Amino acid sequence: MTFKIMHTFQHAPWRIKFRGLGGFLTAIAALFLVLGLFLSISGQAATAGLELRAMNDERESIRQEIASMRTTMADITSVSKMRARAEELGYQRVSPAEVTYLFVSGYPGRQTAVLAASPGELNMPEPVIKPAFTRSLWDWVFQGLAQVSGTSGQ
Amino acid sequence: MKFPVLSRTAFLGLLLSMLGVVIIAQMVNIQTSAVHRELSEMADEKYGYEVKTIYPERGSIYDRWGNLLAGNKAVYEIGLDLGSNYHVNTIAETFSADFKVDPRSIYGKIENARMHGYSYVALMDYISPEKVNKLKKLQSEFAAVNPAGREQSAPSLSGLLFSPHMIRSYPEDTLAASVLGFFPYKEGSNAHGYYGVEGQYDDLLAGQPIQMTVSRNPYQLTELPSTPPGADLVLTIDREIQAQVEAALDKHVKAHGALSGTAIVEDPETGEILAMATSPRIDANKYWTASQVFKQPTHFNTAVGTIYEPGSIFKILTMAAAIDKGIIKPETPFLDTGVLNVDGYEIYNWDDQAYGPVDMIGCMQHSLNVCLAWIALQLGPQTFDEYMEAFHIGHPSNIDLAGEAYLPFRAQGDPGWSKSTMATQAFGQGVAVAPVQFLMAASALANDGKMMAPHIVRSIVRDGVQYNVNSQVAGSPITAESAATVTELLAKSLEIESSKALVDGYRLAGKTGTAEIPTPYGYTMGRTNASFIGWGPVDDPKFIVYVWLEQPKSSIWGSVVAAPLFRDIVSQLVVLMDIPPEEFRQKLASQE
Repeated sequence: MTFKIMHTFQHAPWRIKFRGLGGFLTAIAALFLVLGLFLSISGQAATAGLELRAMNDERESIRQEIASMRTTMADITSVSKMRARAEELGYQRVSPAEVTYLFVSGYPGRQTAVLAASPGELNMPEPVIKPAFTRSLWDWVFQGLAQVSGTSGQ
Repeated sequence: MKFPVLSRTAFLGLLLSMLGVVIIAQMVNIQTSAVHRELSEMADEKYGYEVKTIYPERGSIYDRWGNLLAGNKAVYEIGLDLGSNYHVNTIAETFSADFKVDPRSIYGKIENARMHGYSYVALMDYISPEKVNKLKKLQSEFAAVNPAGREQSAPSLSGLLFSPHMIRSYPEDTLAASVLGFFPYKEGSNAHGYYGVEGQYDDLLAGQPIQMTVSRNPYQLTELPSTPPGADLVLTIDREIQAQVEAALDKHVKAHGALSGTAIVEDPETGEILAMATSPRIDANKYWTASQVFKQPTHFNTAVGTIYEPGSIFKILTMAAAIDKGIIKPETPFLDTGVLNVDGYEIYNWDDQAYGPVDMIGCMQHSLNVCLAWIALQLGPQTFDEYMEAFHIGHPSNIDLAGEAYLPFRAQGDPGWSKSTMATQAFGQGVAVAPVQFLMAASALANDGKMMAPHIVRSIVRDGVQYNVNSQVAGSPITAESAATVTELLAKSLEIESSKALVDGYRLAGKTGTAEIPTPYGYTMGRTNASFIGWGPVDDPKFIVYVWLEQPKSSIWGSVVAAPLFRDIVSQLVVLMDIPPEEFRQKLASQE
């Protein structure tokens, strides 16, 4: 009985057509899936590229803004403007006779500008992660063996 | 015979499949055809890549305390996209109102660009971000009513484009302009620094531009290399001292009707220039005014670029040489008859008077030409010339500023030399120096006989590292004892003279100079260069100050016009440099 049903199903013409069509549509769907995936990845790559370009422009823009702000700040605190502000507040320039001097032991005086590290101070910072966490298994074994042989040789 | 009959569904499927195949075949054809390849290559060549030159940000210049003297700021170029729906009337009216430009020039620029078929025209440049923001706001307001400028009847600023770029900026305006020089930013990428530090250190400040080919294809995005900015410079200049010196100089130049003025303040122990002022000077932000302010390029910074006969201040070098050689002492007597005949050439004192018996202090106090000519004769030409060479007279000081001028010293054996040449050189005639060169020579007297090389840059900051410039000894023309003796001699002569250069509470050494101006027809009458050089405190000099007023009109004498300028500068200098008066320092020394 079961064999008869199977036989009838397999030999029904419309079922054979559906199977062929199904196969064809599956192949088409698979093709479109691959194409869609490709397009999606391409689109994302292009977007990322454009975003990077925009970020480069933004970095340049921020750099210019920082430079401008630094110059604006220097302008606001320039000698002439600070003097005008001081005069507005009622300050007057002192003469040498009006100054009271006080000796402060150990005071080195006003220090000149240090805008960056001096060449001697450029030591590389210690890595935060210990080498035990970063070296490979091979290195660990090799170094361990070398250490053991070195110790035994002593 | 029976043909297979296709069902309607199968027929439709076949038709659509064939259509698909045709489309794909055409796509392949387009992609692979020779015409496509040619077009593609042309597009790639023309539009696929751009050659980009990345200019690093020009390095900044700071004073010794880190105050910015020269930096950069962003400004905008405003242009018009001629492919957009632009409204020429709105643009012209807005620009006329906001930037005070003639609307006809805007119409002209747009029309000219349109006729040439350009897609973009630059309308204005160097516009501040504040003004651009105002314009952008107005643009947005118009766009809300008339999007993309589609309605020609409604106002619109559609199509305006704003491109930022950097320009050089000097936030202190005229302060230290002669030291800084200027960077002519309007010359674009071809610009180079001129004069001063901008000229001398142009390569370092500019940094290294990078040129690269960048793909416009977002898939082929290449990483833009980071361009390190140009080196920053920290100067030896003290902004406060510079401002005070400039203010005093401007005041005295104006008060005495001088053509120009120069003042330099140096630390004699290190050769660091604390202030270098000239009057007149320009606002480096408006560098294009330089040609109107200065008749000759050498006048931009007269402290280094202009040589002149220094006159009587030169006597301190002659005196120092003779004392160092042991030929004279401060108490050596001299009988001044008011005239000295040297090989048939008669030398007179500045006032044609005879001062009778004097010692060397008297010689300097009265600034006797006859006495100093006699001293030079006692030294002899060879020794005199050797000392002048040791003081670097006739050589550039090699200060790190662009455009230093110098005139070789006329020594024995040179064409036109005679004994009288030496005799006049002894009191500052027939010899020419730039102020900075004489300052360097005189610094030996204020620094135990050691002459320090003057310099203006204290540190160079490059790639995140600060390199300090070490002070250098340029020579030791005299001994420390001789330097102390001359300093004391000069201090006494100022005190006896009750010089207008003196500052209450401080012992200072110095010398005035009044030099007639040489012309092709001899020395001029009534036109002089008035100078003063002085240092202090005498027991431990912390500063040396040189001032020069060119052709003062109120008085021709250095003692009348230059000495008070020196006093004005020093009276503020001691406060700014935290130098206590003599009394306090002596009290402190006794406690120790």
